[in-house]
This record gives sequence, C-alpha cells and structure tokens, in this order.
Amino acid sequence: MNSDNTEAFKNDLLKDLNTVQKSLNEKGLLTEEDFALLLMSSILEEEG
Amino acid sequence: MTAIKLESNPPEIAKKTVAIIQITRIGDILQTCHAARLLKINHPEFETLLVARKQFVEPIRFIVDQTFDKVIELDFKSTINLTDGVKGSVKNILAQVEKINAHPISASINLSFSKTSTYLHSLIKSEHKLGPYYSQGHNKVIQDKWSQYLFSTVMRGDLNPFNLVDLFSNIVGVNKKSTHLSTEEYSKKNKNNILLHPFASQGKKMWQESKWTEVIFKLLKDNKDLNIHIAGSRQDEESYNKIINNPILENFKNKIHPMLGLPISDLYQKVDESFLFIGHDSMVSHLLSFKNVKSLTISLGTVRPQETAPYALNNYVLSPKTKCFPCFPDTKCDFYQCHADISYQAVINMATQLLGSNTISKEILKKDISAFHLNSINIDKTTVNKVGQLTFSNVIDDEKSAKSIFKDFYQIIWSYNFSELDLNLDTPKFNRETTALLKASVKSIETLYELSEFGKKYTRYILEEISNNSPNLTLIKEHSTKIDEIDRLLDVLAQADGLLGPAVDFAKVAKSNLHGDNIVKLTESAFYVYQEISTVSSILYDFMNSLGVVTSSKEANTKSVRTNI
Repeated sequence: MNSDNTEAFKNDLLKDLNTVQKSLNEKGLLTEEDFALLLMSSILEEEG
Repeated sequence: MTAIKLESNPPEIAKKTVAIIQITRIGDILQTCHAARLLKINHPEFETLLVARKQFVEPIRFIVDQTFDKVIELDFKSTINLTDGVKGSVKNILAQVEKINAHPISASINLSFSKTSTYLHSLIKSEHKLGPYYSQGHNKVIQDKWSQYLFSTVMRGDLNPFNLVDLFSNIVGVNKKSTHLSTEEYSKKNKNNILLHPFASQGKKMWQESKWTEVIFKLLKDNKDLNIHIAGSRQDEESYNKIINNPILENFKNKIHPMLGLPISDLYQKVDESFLFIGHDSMVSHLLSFKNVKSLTISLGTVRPQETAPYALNNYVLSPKTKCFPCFPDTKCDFYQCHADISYQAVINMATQLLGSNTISKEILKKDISAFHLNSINIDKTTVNKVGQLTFSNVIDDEKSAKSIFKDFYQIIWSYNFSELDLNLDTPKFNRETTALLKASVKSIETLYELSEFGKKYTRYILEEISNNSPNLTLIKEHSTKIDEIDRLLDVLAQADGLLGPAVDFAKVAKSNLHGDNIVKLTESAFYVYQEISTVSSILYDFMNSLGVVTSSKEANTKSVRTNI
C-alpha cells in the first residue's frame, strides 16, 4: 500500500469528520452520508 | 363477478421481514443462529434476514442457511479502499446498505452492540428497531429493556445469570417453552475420539501448552483405543508444535491427528457421536453445540462461563474460583493465577469420565482428585429451567456462594420484570462466610431502596413544579442537582458492594434512554426508572429476609442515608 495515499486518505477522512461534527453542532442532525462516514471511521478504528 | 373472483383467489400476503444484525465474529453468529432458530419455530410467518460480515459468515453458511431465509454479506474490506478515496468509499458503503434496505424490513434487531453495528443500524430503514442505534441527533438509543440489560451487564462483571443465546432470544422476543434444547444425547456412551481445541483468541483465555501436553499424554497412555484430533487455525501452528513436540509424546504421534486450517464445514462433518470435545471457550464449542457433541469447556481469563457456554444440554464447563476471575480485556496480568487454579489432573479425570459415561460423577472426582485441586474449581453442568433458559448446575458444591445466590435472585427479577416469566428456584444452601457477605449486602440493599425512593421524590417535585402556572426554574434546577447527587451515590454504592452492580448499571443505561420528547415525559420516564430500581431492591430485600440474613439494621441505615442527602 502506498503510504502517501494512506496519509491522504487519513487527512481526507479527518477533514470530513470535522465537517460532520460542525454540521451536527449547527443543525443538530446527521444525514445518511454523515452516518456512512461515521460507520467507515468506526470500521477503520476497529481494524486498527 | 370481480368480487367473487377475488374471494376465491385471495392476494398472497407478503411475509414480514425481521433483519438481524450480527457483524461480530463467527462464535457470535453461531449464537445468533440459535436465537434465530427459536424465532423460526415461534414465528414461521416471518422471513428472517441476517446481516453479517463476509469474512465471518462465509465459512459457516452451511449452518446459517439452515436458519435464515436470506443472508446479506457485508464486505467492508473491499468497500473501503484508497483508490476510491473517502468520498468513493462512503458511496460504496451506502451501496451495501442499499442492498439491505431493498428489503421491506418490519423490524431490525442489532445483536452486535459495537459502535460499528450501532452506526450500521442507524442506516437501516425499518419500522421498528431493537438494540442500539444512533438517533439523527447522534444520541445512542436503546429502547427495549432486554437490550438495555444486555448493554448494561455483559462484560461488566460475573453477575449475569443468562446465556447470551437466551439474552438474544429475549431481545428477539420468543417463547422458549419446549421448543429447543433437546434432552436426547447425541454422543455415544463410549467414545474413542477427542476433538481438542487448545487455542483461544487471547493468551488470557488459553492454558499454557505444557498443561495440554500432560493431558494428551495421560489420556493416550490410559486409553489404548483413543485418538486425539487437534483443531485450530493456521496461526495456531506454533502453539500446536509446542504441545506436540514434547518428548513425552514421542510414542503417541500416530494417535494425534492435526486438523489445523481445516474448513469449518469439514470439521463439523467429521465430528460425530464418537467424539468428546475438550477446549477453551471458542467458536468450535459453539459450532459443535448444534449437534450437541458432548463437551468439556475450560473457561479462563475474561470468559464469563455461563454467558458464553455452548448452547446445548448436559455439557460441562470447568472454571477457576480465582477471586479476580473473570477479568476484563484491559486488566493487566503477569501471573495468570486462574490458569494455575485449574489442574491438569482434574481435566484428565473429567475427560476420562466423559469418554466412558457421558456424565461426571462427584463421588469419582472426590475419590480421585485431591481436595486441594477440587477446592479451586467450579464444575458446572448445563441444564434447562422451566421457561427454557440454559442454566448451570454445580457438580461438586452443594453450598452456593454469595455471587451465585445473587445471580439466582437477578434471574428471577429480570425474567419477571422484562418478560413476565415466573421462575421458582430452590432455597440455596450456604456457609458462614456467605452468610456474612449476604448480611453485609442487606445494608446495601436498604441504601439502594432509599436512594431510589429519593430519586422518585425529586423527579416528582420537578413534575409538580412544571405543572404550576409559573414554574420556578431555580427550584427545578435544585431538584435536578439532587437527582445528579443521587446518581453519583448509586455509583458509589455499586463500587462499594459489587453484588448490587447489575441493578445500578441497568438504572444508568435505562436513564440514558428515557422515553419522551419534552421535559415532562422525560422526567416521568426517569421517575419510572427509579420506581423500577426501588421494586428491585424491595424484592432483593424480601429474598434476603426469606434466607434469614436480615437483621434490624434498617432503621439506623435509613437515617444515615437521609442525613447524606
């Protein structure tokens, strides 16, 4: 696996998670895409 | 004419679909299959759908397909990838979820209890949800009582009186009377094969290799016709070699048959009625429970023996009496006292008895094994009670420990409280040491009662204040502070007397899942949680009274609680 790609993926994920958090703080609601992103983050966390 | 035609050919009513989410490992899927089988027996009119991870469900499709009408395999590994990036991977995940949502699901039941499954459950479109999911506002929601109980108790301590399959069945909501756990023996009385699974997912749960070498050596030496088959994965090869390459087994190599990396379906097929299974709590023991292969499970480390015992009758579970057993996955341990507390002599004796008679006799154990070795272990036989729950019956001890007595009490209380199942259990026998522990707990029960009554009082004050024409917000805040204080004291109580942990833990989970969308409904709901715990403590007190361990300390204790609040 290319480590540059992994790093870019990680950065994108963190950026998107921050956006979801901001949106949750503002609107108080999560969309389907937000849940899918959180699901993905949780899977990656579980698998280390 | 048309009306008559319709009457003679009524439209076929679509079956309602129940989706069960189980995205954890193979052992958990197998336990879920037992519960789903009960669902099928009770409700053949429902279509059952299993949502599981591909890598865990694929090897056991031969069992799963007998239980579920449909299976959706989730492949997270290929879904999340660098080529598609974050946005593409999210799209892939949604496409997988879409496969689930293509079915009109009446009820979705999450039996995994992990963060991942909770998010997945949030994405599933169903009319009713059981088990944890996140609300749109990102709050974890667990609505049904059995799921709240499971969430509050499992892996918190060893006071859960239910097997995981029974808990799953309770969440699903099936009646188990005479529908499962056949009393017929599958295994032959005399067996000449042992399937040994001496490995586990964690070192804590696994005996050291040298002990297994001793067991294999003695069993093969004393039983000329015996063959020992060793099951495991390819990753267990190093451990397997340590067991087998010991010089004392040199003359028995032709009697030892490796089965490492064998497909699970082949393993299941190979193990017939001539086999005894011996091993740690693992997927293999759950797999063989579908045939009711006679088994001896050795529980160590983090394993809660009753919770995860293979779901079949007349099998045996061996566990240590070590004070710190069972521990938690993050508990540091250098010495593994619980491993040392189980002697290989006891395992050899039990295995020999099971090979020749399918049962373990207390008399033979007491004759052949030293009291020193017997005093450090529990040997339990799996039985079934009148409402169909798998229970443990202790083979060597007539006297119950305080924990065991409380487990029985909780079994009665939770069964009635959540499912209105009426259980009658015999009055336990116990010794002086247990009497002292039970007497100490009476005081804690009184405190639990007082605290829950205070909880009721302050939630009622809030409700009264809200119902006024001009509610006093400062007063409401003061009452709410008191409630926070009560909750903190409940935590302190559970820490001081672990026997009350399940009641306090359940209250905590129930309070974080209050019903209602406004302050009145939420406060009412909180009132009912305190009411429930007050009832639990009253029943516990009555039970203790019937055991004759209640003294007249109530008055003094009540006063001390009142001065604290």
